[in-house]
Parts: sequence; structure tokens; C-alpha cells
Amino acid sequence: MKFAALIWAALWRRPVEAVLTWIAMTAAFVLFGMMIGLYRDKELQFTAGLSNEIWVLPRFPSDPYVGLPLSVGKSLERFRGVSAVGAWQHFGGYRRGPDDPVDIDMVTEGMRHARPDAPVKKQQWNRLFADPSGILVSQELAQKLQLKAGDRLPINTPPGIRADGGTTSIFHVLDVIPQDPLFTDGVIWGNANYIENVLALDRRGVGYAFIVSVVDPAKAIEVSQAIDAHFLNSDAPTYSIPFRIDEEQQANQNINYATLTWGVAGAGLLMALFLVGNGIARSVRERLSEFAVLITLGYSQRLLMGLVFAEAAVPCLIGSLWGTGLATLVLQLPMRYVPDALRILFERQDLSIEVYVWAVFFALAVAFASSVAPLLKLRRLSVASALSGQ
Amino acid sequence: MNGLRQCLWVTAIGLRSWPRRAIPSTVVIVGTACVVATLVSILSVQAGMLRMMETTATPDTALVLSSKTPNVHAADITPSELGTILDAPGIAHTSTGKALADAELLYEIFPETGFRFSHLSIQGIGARGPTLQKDFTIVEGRLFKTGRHEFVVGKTARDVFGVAAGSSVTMPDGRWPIVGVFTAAGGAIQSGLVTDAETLRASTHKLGYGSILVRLNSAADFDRFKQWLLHNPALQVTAERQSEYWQKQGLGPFYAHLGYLVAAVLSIGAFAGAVNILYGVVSDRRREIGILRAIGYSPLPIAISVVAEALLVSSAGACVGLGLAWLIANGHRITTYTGIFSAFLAPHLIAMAVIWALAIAILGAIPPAIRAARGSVSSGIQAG
Repeated sequence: MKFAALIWAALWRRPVEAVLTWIAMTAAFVLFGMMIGLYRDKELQFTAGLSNEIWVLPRFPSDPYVGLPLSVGKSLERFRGVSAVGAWQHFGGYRRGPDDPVDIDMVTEGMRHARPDAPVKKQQWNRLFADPSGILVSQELAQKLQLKAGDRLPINTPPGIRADGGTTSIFHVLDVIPQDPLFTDGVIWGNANYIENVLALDRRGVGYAFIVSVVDPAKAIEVSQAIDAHFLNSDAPTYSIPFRIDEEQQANQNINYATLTWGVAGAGLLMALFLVGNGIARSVRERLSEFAVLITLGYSQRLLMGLVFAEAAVPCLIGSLWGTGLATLVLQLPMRYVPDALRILFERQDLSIEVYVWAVFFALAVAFASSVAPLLKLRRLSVASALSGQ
Repeated sequence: MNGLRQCLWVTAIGLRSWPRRAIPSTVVIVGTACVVATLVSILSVQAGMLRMMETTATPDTALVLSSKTPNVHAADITPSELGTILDAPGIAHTSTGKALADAELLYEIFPETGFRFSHLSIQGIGARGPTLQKDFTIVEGRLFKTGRHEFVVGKTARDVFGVAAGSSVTMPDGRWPIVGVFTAAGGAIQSGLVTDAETLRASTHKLGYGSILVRLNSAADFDRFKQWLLHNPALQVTAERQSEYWQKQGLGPFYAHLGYLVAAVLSIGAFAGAVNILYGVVSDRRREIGILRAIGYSPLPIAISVVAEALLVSSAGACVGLGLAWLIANGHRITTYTGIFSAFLAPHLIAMAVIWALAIAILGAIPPAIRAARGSVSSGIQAG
């Protein structure tokens, strides 16, 4: 307790400067929280169970989209290192009018093994593949489309899509599933058997893309290259890319996200470092005689050094927690107040505890780095000289 | 006049004792440098993008797009509409009377080796395409021949994707050789491959064109030209100034908003740091200020000298920040859907950064300057 009083007295020696230092630290850690939060989100996105999955897409775009034949899936299953293959195809239409579009991702049974990380329970997959018109709707889309288990979802399509000449397909919501990390905007899973039975004959068996799961994630690139080489001269050339690489490419499409986030966070910390360092150096310089008195009274030099470090650490720690907390609040701003261009920064609703841990770690690092020079000065302190005012 | 002289004298006296305060001043220099470096680095991305787009588009060029899908990536302008579009008023003509317009088509393919986010874009152009592109020059090999499966590659695409003259690219109907390399004043077209539009259309089974690029007699003819197209019942097209179209496609707004957000938050820290340090400066000069007040100097020149010192130190910070931004960002190559370009420290960014830094200095110097001006003579002389 007596040490707390000493630290408090040291901090509050110049109240205005203490408050200003705390404000600067808070500003630095607001940026730190936002930037490192974004960085961690991206990192998690890359590593969350996506390392052994590969997209297999048509190599050449086409308009209208013709995709890959369903039969490609059979060939993919025979590749060495492939553990599962799931095919999917968009089935798009609208509900009330063309301005109310809905897309269903129709998948084959292989998808349950190709996407083991998908937040779909075994029973839900079973029900989906047992019911051709059944669908599983992710929470976001269920909320947006106001759907719940048991509801019907009629989808209108232009004439010529269905073999029977009809223009309405009716689906049944089997269940609402949690958010899929791969489809952050939401997803509706449907049963590919449905389209294979109702689409016009020339539309069946085509228009697919695949998700391939590999046994060894370290060989995902090798398998991707083997797949593309195999289909290069076929009627259906492919472009295969491991999920993780695809995510990284997208995140780094303009500027390397790690450089951007750590660069901005680092700029704030550098500024804070110089400010705290200057403050603590000045504080020690002005109080050398006071330290000499304390040593004379029996305080060990190590204890005094600890007190000086604490004097640097307290504003850093308070600033880091305040700043990161403020960043959490800012990120919870309703989207309507956020400019469209910046929404990528505000997509997550809160910062993980890991970001707070990082903030505390860097606050202590700044405190340590800023107090090194004053601590060395204190270590070399000559009590007699200091007491005599030299 | 006397007041101005006093300001100059007091500022000079203050600066003479500045070396004593050099170390604390680094806080202001570093703080300002951090603000300037991040602001300018981030905004240089937007500046680079705008520079590429300005190179791509001139005020007198317009794009005719399908009204159904007003996007150059579509292929909804039918060949039958082309002849009618070329009759529109306002289009410039060559000396032989041919309309300065070109039907174009965009197609994108994945890179053949490795993984890369950006697709390799292929632009199909017609006979007048090279004339309509700014400074289109073949720098190696030759131009593609109409009707043949061959490309020329932009210099930027060659450097980024490694597709040089002499190599070939796999298309849906086989391998197409690259027969030349071109430059186009650094415009977006330089970020991809270029070939004959009709050959590309046949190869990719596209039914129409994505856009018609036209040169108008003058920029003022655009409205008349657009209205004619919109009111022609035989056409289902619209028109946009080329410059406006490209500006809408870019990611510039993200970088602009991010740059200002980051700079604003950092500025709070830099401001707090500046106030903190300048209070120290005033404290350090208390005796000097007391003596000056005692011999008749008024408070205003003393306050101004504090602001002047802050401006000087912040200017140094701005220079450091600009230097850092130059090293980190300037020339950094960025690949986007709309093209490949380099980040660019535009002169207006440099001016804005300097103004930003000076604003931090002035705002940060006001409270300490007030304290300096209000300091009593007796306590000042007794100090130190």
C-alpha cells in the first residue's frame, strides 16, 4: 500500500501532464485495438479449419455460367491425397420480385465430408440429403428473410429453367444453422438431388464447382496443381486453389493487411513510447535527490527501480485498457453511422480477449522500453552527490 | 512594428536555447512524423489509383455501356447496335471520316502458375483502339494481327504476371502467343493483355461487346451525345464519361476514409504529446520569460515565440514523416481489380500533410503559450 502511495504521488506530481500522457496512450491503443483486432480476425479466418480444403473452379469464366460437369467430382475422388469431394451449384431466383433475390447453394452428399468445419450437425446433413426440397438456412439469412424451421420458401425462376415448364420451386426450411465461417454473408444449403430432378434436361449434371478435402493440409498446393494439370487439356479445365491461400490473397489484394495493421498500430506505439519515455526521464531527473533520501532511509535500489518502472507502467496499462475498450465500443457503432467504405473495419462486433492480452503486453513493453534509460541513470546514482544537490 | 520586432527577438532568443530542449522536442517530432507518415502513406494509395485513372481517361472520352448491365465486364452491346451508336452526334472523326470509336470486350483468366488474387485481364480492342488509348506504343515485338490468336502484353502486366513476349497464354481454345509488349502512359490497359476484340469474342463465345469507347469532339458534347443514345429506341445503352466510370470502380474511398480516421486518432495523441512537451518548454524558459517581461516585453510576443517553436519542431516532424512515407509507400505496387498501379506521393498530399502537422503544432501550443504569457515576472525571475 505504501508503494502505491509513492507511485500515485509520482504520477500526480504534474497532474496536467499525467492526464495528457494518459490521453495519448489511450489514442494509441484505440488504433492498436482496431488494427490488431482486424489482423487477428484475418488470421483466424485463414487458420480456422480451412487449411485442408481446396476450391476447384472452372478455369475460364463463361457468360452464361456453365461451370464444371458433375462427373468431374468422380475423377477428383480418385486423386491421391483427396479424402472427400463435395459439389455445389447456385440455384438463384427471387421471392416477391426481381429486387428480392435469393440464392441456394445446392450441394451433393460429399459436402458433409468435404466441409467438416461447416457448422452443420450430422442429423441436419442427414435430413437435408433425405429431403430433396429441404434447405438449411444460416442465422443471418434466416433473420434477413424472416425464416424459421418449418417455413416454406418459394423461389421464382424464369421460364425454361425447370423441366416441367413451371416457374416456382418450393423449398422447406429444415433448420436454422449457425454462421458458416466460409460464407460470412450467410448461406442456404440445398440438396443437389433436387435440381438434378427438376431442371431442364440440358441443365442437369453441369454448372458445378467443387470443394475438395485433402488428407494432409501440407499437400494442399501439390494436390491443387495435380488437379489443374490433369484437367488442363480436357473439356473442363479447372482452377484449384487451397482455401487458405484464397483467403490470404483476398485479404492482401491491395496492401498486405499485416503490414497495414501492424504499421498503423506501431506508429501509435512509437509515439506513445517517446512521450512516456520523455516523461519518465524528466521525472527521474527532477527527483534524484528524493531517490537519494529514500536510499538513505533504507529503500533498496532495486525497489526504487521497480517504483520507476511502475510509474511508467501505470499510465501505459490504464491507457491500453481504456484505449482497447474504447476501440471495442467504436466497433459496435451501428453500421448506419459508418461510411460504406470503412465497413470492413467495423464488421466484427467485439474484440477478442486475445487483443486485450496483446494490448497489455505491448503496454508493458512500451513501459519497459521507455524506462530503460532512467533506470540506468538511477542505477548509477551517487547518493552523496544527489544529497548534496550536485 | 515594435510588436513584430519584439516577436522576432523573443523567438530568436527562445530558439537559441532550443538545443537544451532538443531531446524532449523529439517527442513532438516523432508524434508529428507518425501522423504524417501514416496519413500520407495510406492516401498515396488513393492518389496512385487516381493517377492511373486520369491517365486512362481524358475528359473528351466516353464509354457507351449496356443499360441492362452498365459494366465493362458485361458483353451486352450487340454488334447490330454498334453501327447506330457510331452515328451519334458529338463523336470525333478521323481525317478519312471514320468515327473515333472502338468496340471493346473484357475477359479475365486465372494466372497459369501459382496463385494470385488478381485475374489476368484481357482486353479486346478494335482497329481504332490504339489511337484512343493515351500514348499506346509497342516497345517490343509487334502489334497483334486482326483475326489471329495472339496478344500484346502491357508492360505492367509483364512485370507482375511474368508473361513476356515470346511466351503464350492458355485460352479456352488453345494457347495464344504473346507477340509484343506495349506501354500506354501507365494507364489501366497496361495491366493486362490486349488482343483483337472480334477474335476474342469468337473465342470466348461472347455475343456482344462490353463497351464502346468514343472520343468526342469536345468534353462539352457529352450531354448531347448521351441524350441521343438514351432517347434512341433502337438502342439499349447508356453513356458515362470514362473518367467518372473508372473513379467509381476504384477502392479509393476506403483508403481516403482509413487515412483520415487513422490520422485523426493519432493526431489526438500527437496533440497531447505536443501540449505536454510545450508545457515543459515554457517551464524551462520561465526565468528567461520573466526577465523579458521585466525589461518591458509584452506577453503576446512571448506567447508567439512558444507557437513559433512548436511550428518549427512540427515542421521537422512533418519532414521526417514525409521522408518515411516516401520510403515506405511511394512507388509501392498495388494490384486491384481495376488495374495495377503504384502508390504516389502527390504534391497535394505533401501540402495537406504539412498543413495537418502545423495545425497540430498550433493547437498544441495554445495552452502552453497562454501559460507563458500569463506567467508573473517575479516568479519567473526567481525560477531556476
